[in-house]
Amino acid sequence: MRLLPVACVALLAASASARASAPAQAPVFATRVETVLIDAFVTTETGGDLPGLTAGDFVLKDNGVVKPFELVPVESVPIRVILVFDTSNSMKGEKLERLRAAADSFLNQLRPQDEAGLVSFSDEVALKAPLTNDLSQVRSGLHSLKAQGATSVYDAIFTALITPRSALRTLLIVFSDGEDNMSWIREPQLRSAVERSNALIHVVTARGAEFQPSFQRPPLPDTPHMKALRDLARITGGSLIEVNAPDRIETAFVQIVRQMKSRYLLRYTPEVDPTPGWHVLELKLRSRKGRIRGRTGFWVESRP
Amino acid sequence: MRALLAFLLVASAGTAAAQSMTARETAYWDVVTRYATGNRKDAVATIGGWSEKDLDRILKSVQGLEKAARRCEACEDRARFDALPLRAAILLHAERDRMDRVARMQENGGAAECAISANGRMSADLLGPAALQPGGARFASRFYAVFAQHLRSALCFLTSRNWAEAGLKLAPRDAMLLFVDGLASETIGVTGFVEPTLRSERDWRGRQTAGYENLDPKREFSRAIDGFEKALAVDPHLSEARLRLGRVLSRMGRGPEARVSLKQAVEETSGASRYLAHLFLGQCLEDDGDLDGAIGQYSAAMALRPDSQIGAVALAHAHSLRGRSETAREVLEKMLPVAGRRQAADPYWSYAMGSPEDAEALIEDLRRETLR
Repeated sequence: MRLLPVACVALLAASASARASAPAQAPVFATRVETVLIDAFVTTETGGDLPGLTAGDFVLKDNGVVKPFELVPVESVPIRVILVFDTSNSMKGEKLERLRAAADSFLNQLRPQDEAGLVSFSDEVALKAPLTNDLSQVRSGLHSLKAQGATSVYDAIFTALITPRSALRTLLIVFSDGEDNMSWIREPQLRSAVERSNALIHVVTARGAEFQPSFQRPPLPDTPHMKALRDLARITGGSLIEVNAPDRIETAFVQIVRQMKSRYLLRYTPEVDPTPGWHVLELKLRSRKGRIRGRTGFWVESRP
Repeated sequence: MRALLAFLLVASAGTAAAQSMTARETAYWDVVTRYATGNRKDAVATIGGWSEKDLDRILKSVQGLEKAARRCEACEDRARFDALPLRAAILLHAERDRMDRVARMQENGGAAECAISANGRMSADLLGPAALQPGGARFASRFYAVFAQHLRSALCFLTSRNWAEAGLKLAPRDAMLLFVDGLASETIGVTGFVEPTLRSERDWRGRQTAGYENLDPKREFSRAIDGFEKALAVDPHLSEARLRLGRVLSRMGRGPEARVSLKQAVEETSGASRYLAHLFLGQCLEDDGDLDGAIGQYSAAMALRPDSQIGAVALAHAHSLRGRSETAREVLEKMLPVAGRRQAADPYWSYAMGSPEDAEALIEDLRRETLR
């Protein structure tokens, strides 16, 4: 039996070639060259940044066994971000305007080597801009957004996970103001796709009274849908930020930018022929006090 | 033909009816006749100016005529009653009720507006008397079924079910009403929300309060299964009931029964229903681990609607589970450029809640048949 880790395992060669501006290498499903990239979000107990950590400050375990890893300079790895935005009917008016403005500010923070794309969703999932470093295409996509229809957030996330061609880690920033009510993909299926992907997912949700269609019942503290989105973000190491008013959307995006800038990036190369199945990753601080968050695992497929 | 005769009777025997009519009643029947003879817009606008009190008086006079008509089969009172254009009146009031509801929805930023207006009540109250007229019972059950579907598409799911159940009291074995009753329950189960309903308790100002019913999707799905099965028992050719029965059985985790129903739906249906049957059967097979079977069904759905987004997502997902990431990507890449340029909406999008356009088409059919 030949073991073939899927796309959740990033290629060392791919990230290295990106740093050197060489052409991106196609995925090669051979166990010896594959690596797992882990974004580690570290803060003090009170939420402040914790800069200057070295590899020696981290402990990484794969299925309970301590493993060696490298710390990669964050600035050397381009960010490939796909904005996955809700354009359902409830987004009409100020909400959509605020979302556009927040996204525009976010794009201003990207560096020349970074790439961005835009996927919108209501009933339909639409690719408004493919991954590109020509950000004017993304801005043009933002201006073309119109609010109408229902909410297919799961289908949109699935599409954004599957369509990128490179095995480089993709950042998904998902914004949604309502419950999924139109997707084909169900939550367990999406969770499985997320586990098998190589994406980092941050979710911004808006559930204040002014975000809710009034025919829906008032939101509960954490609906199954919210719990699902929170969990999807958590699996990848990302976070869910909840805002309660349109003017808070930009703040949430600023928070994501801050997290991305202050994160640490670990590169872990599993042994040859790793055990098939879900590999639980544990990330801890060795000698420093603080909070740490990273992807919770990676998947190794077994194939005949 | 009988409806036409009824109008002719009103026109020619108007003198007999007019003898006992007040001026206000005469004015009322004049509005209804204008509606029936094609001046819809004008009639609907005019009836909007009638007060609830006026409409109550008209209703009482109709009920009086109904009472008199019930006493004999072949007397003048019966002929006079049968000549009343009650079906046109029902459609007129229902149309005004819908118009007012849409306006209130727009005022409320698209929120569902399910309260029945005076015109809505009038149309419902006239259904009892109308059922006594020749062909009236058939019309009444159709009206209940059509308006229940309209209310569902207007996000008034409980009201839709209440409407279907009111119809079933009149026609307990009407396949369409049984189906629509199941449809409302399926919608409530899928969406997990209903419009607020009035409660018996009152607030500190003495106003009736409104609240949300506690929902249990499984209970709703069981009700839906019951409705669809009863509908199919009456009319085994009601293929949409077969499709929906399969879908709900699948949601309830009753895979083997769901597959039987959905395979039958694939055979018996055409167009949008067949497309959906392929999709739903594919999902059943996928849940059962038969990925190749699922891919076959999703591909068949895509063959029927090549620009289908749902079909593409389903197919891509099945391919990705099969380990064919590149094929999955290609399927989605073909789908994405079609967004915003689809010839028609995907039937899956209106499956759960219906669409106002489909509901309007049903109402138009009923209107055309009734008023021709």
